[in-house]
Amino acid sequence: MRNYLLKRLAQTIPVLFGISILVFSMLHLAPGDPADLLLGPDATPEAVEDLREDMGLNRPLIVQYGAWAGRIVQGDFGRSVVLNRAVLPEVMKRFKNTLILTAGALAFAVVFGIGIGILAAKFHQTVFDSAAMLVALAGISMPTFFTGIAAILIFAMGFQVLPSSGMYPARGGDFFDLMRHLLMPAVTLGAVSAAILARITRSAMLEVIQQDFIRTARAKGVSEDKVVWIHALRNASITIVTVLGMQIGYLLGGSVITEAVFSWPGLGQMMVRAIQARDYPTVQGGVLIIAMSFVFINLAVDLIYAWLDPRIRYS
Amino acid sequence: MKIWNSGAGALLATAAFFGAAAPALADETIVIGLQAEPVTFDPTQISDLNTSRVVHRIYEGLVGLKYGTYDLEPRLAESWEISEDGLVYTFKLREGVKFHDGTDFNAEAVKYSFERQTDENHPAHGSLTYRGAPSYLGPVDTIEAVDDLTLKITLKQPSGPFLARLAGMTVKIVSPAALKAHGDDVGQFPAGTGPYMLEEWEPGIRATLTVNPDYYGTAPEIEKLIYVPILEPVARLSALTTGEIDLTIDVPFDSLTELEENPDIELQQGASAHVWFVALNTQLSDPPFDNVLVRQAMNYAVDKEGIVNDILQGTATVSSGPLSAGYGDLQNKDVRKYDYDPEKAKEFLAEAGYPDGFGGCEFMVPESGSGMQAPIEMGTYIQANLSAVGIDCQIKTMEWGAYLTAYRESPMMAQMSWNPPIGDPDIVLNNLLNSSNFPPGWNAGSYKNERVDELVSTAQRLSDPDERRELYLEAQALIAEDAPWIFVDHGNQIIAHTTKLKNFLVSPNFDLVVEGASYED
Amino acid sequence: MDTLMHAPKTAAKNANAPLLEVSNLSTEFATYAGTLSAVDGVSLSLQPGEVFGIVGESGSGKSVTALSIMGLIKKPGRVTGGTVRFKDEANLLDKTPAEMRKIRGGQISMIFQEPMTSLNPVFRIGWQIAEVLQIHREMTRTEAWERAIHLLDRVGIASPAKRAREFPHQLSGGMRQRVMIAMAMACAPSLLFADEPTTALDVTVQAQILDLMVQLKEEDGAAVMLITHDMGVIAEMAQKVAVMYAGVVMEEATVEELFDSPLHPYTQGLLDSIPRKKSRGQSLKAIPGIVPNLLHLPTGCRFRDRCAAAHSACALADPPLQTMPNSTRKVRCWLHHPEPPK
Repeated sequence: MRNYLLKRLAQTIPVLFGISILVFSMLHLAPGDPADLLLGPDATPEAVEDLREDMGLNRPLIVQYGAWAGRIVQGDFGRSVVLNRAVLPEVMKRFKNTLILTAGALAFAVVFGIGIGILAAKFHQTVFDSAAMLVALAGISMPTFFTGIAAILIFAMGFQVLPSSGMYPARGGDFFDLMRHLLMPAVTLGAVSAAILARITRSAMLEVIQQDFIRTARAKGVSEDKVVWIHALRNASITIVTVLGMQIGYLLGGSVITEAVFSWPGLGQMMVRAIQARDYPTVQGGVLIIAMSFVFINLAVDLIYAWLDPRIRYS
Repeated sequence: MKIWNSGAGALLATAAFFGAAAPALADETIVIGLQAEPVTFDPTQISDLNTSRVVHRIYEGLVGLKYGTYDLEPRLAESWEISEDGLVYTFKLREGVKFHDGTDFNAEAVKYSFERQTDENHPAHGSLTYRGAPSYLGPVDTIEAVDDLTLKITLKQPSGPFLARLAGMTVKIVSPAALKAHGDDVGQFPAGTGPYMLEEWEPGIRATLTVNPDYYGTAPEIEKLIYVPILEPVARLSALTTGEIDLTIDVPFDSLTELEENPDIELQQGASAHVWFVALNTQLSDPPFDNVLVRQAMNYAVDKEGIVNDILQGTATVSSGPLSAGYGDLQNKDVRKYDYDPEKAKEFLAEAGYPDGFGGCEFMVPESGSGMQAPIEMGTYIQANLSAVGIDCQIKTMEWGAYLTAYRESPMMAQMSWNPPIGDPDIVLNNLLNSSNFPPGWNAGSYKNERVDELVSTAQRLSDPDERRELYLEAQALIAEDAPWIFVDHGNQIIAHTTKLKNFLVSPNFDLVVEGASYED
Repeated sequence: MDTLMHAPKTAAKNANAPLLEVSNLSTEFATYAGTLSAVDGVSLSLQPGEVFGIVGESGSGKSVTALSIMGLIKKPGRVTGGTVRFKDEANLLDKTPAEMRKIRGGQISMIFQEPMTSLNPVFRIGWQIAEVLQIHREMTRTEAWERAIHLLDRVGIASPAKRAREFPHQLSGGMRQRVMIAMAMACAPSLLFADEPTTALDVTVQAQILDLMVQLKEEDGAAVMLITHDMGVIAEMAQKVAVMYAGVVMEEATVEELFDSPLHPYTQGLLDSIPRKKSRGQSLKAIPGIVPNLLHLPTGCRFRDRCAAAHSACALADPPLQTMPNSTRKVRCWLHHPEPPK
């Protein structure tokens, strides 16, 4: 097990290396020049040229990459051109906010998605089942952007029960405020995942419930609740966790739109801004952090997998 | 007793959760919804409007703008004298002014703030890039602190816009003590002389400014300003109508009527120096944009009134030249105007030798962009207008960052807009239309009229406002006649605020000046 | 010595009272094509300690009969009629699910054909056995675990403490069935349903498992209802046999009677299909045709399409299950009926 972990961790190094090359070249080969964007309308061509020189943008790409990668290895992510601060602490601060949003969305997706999926399977072919699956289908088809705007119009502007956007109110900012502000974006972001999880959970449960060992459990006198929530769910959870792992990735990616709609000060919002401004150090640093978290999520999912399904063993 | 307490607490908590969305704030505080978060409080490092809307409150320059106008007025300099040859500017500085960190403002501080940007060996130069310095401080030769309150700036050559530029962002005066203490990170620990100072800053969440108790001038009535970023226009609108914020900019066009009918909200439209145009490559013979008749025909062909009313919902005025009404008497209103007239456009085309029009022009349109209003809708509208008189254009859309680069590579036909940060015509007429700024400069259409070049270049070297005005008026008339652009519109600033906010005036430079406003419950 | 192994046995009180008495049990399944009767008026009776075999081809309704008695029929199936009397209990079919759960796994338990799929793959086998004890014996987790190890030992699994911590996929097929038996016998039931307990196992293992079942049954005094298609297993284990075909009992007799003188042509066909020493080298006779579609049963006798002895009466009416004169054996065939229809 320890060897497996070390092996997996070692594998992340070439992955991150590859990602860094990919991001670097995509950014630098894309049209658009940070000097132009930074200087804006008031700049002379000479000033733009000076700035390019200053920022090292006139050096060959490979040299630029080497310099950047060399610093990254030493833990120096560089300085954001837009924020005018060191990239790493800034990226981590925003990433923390993204994680809060993602965790909220995940909690919603897990509780409602898996919960509804299990109940739909339990009450298979009833009105509840059909209604839940109809709602889930609607949830999958609804774009986050639309759901978000609709939520703002209904709950913030219409009923005025929830704040329009942001992470904290203009003043104050305790845990309670955070939860109020988190509710709409988390549900908006988690809606699609909840719907997908509900459908997956339902079909996984229905399949498991057909299995012989469920009949065995019933023959043992196990109560119907325990049959569903312990015997069946534990087996179905192998499928559910696979999908859940993919959904975490989706949630991290999907947070970009949600963060923009709800002005959530997360990494996605920061990255969009950085890309627009061709703030290379920030984009590169952000992508590396996200890539690393993806790698770790995958590793975690694999480990949970092995824990859930004793037939899987890693070495 | 204890049980009762916790029960009541939970009840209150529930009420707070689902109750009123916005807790009432103290009278002296207003919350301002910005389109994006402010990113730094170092005036030399700012390249976006939303950041400057906050930073303008904290720092001041030698000169400032009169409330709601582009007119210059004394600020940290009480008065100034300009030598006959226009080379030496002697500023008499205000006495007894202190920075927010308690240190004194004086001539040395000005020198320190300026030379930090221009002198690579200056102790506060650090590793930053001073992007504004070439344009704002480029003409400066030497800076001399004659005494504590006298500052002498000598220019390399006379510069007409120099004084106006001293109201700009990068030349605001930063406390030397703060620079010494924080170096490159001074943007996180601002210390200026402005009427407000930074109280709390949580990046991405809020920036709270509180009134400067030692301010030398009239203290603002509103004690606290809280700036919150709200990226989504619908959310800004929602936050305003529910009272979460008191003031905001850029609400969705289609909600304007609704806001006008809302008795709690006051909607203000103010002129700005903004200009929106389509640059035509005047050096090209295919398509024949080198023919002035063709360019004039295109100006007749485009229904600018229609764009302003149908797409921009009346939030702009039709343009007849590079300068908007925001420039006051610097704008030449008596220029040739191109009212929408497709028949006339066809006549002009026929006269130019294209009775059936022509095709093959590529029309560059950004997907979005600062000040670009509704680029794709407007581009499509213009394309349809031109097609109606026989000119066929293909639209090519691009992401803004890529667009800015492509724009400076001699495009055939391209949209652009300009939000001049200062009120001097030089920044428009010289930067965009002087032949000295051919690509990769911002004169993307390579427009060249020798008389215009001469007028604009001369005005750049003069310092007498009246003399300069004459030259700019003539230049504007010539430009209108030459039609190097399709002149489309000047966008208005749309500001919506609670009716409790009184005496708020829209500033032409896109700032949100709240110093003169008051808040009444 | 071992209180658990000596659960009270009603059989001891009244030797003549049957342990289980099933009358007129009917179970239907709703399908898109219509409702089919999987079990159509089955009556059976089991004495305490007896091994009762139910034999028949697949689809004959023998498993459904067992599941119906245990209350394990799930939608779209439904028990539509009959009574099931077990010990002193009222009709099992009228009991609530909660009441049935107390009986299942405790007094009546069941082992299934596929040990491979009948154990939950994600739980340790010790846990799966302990669970029964926790439900029916109100044991603590630790007590139940200890007990489970003991039970594994009893069904002949070596190093039971280590095995208890293993998962089903780590065991061989035979061991899994031993685990199933340990689980079924955990609460010393008075009735055990064994549904094709050896069919999925290797021939060598089959005998061991059957021996184990016999041994445990003897020790605990349980009655066994053995469901199989294998006449050989019946011959070895059972005292009484019911032959089922298409949802009904065709013939019921003691093992000796049935093997010595099968009355029903179907029973004869089943016996002819068993490989025997004396017929080695000869080809086995299979019953021609297939089990009829329960939705489209032939009129009259449901076996007549495949019956070599079928005659005109067979098409006219369904024969009743009739007790033979001077005997306890029963048969459902016009050949043995005093007054077949004309």
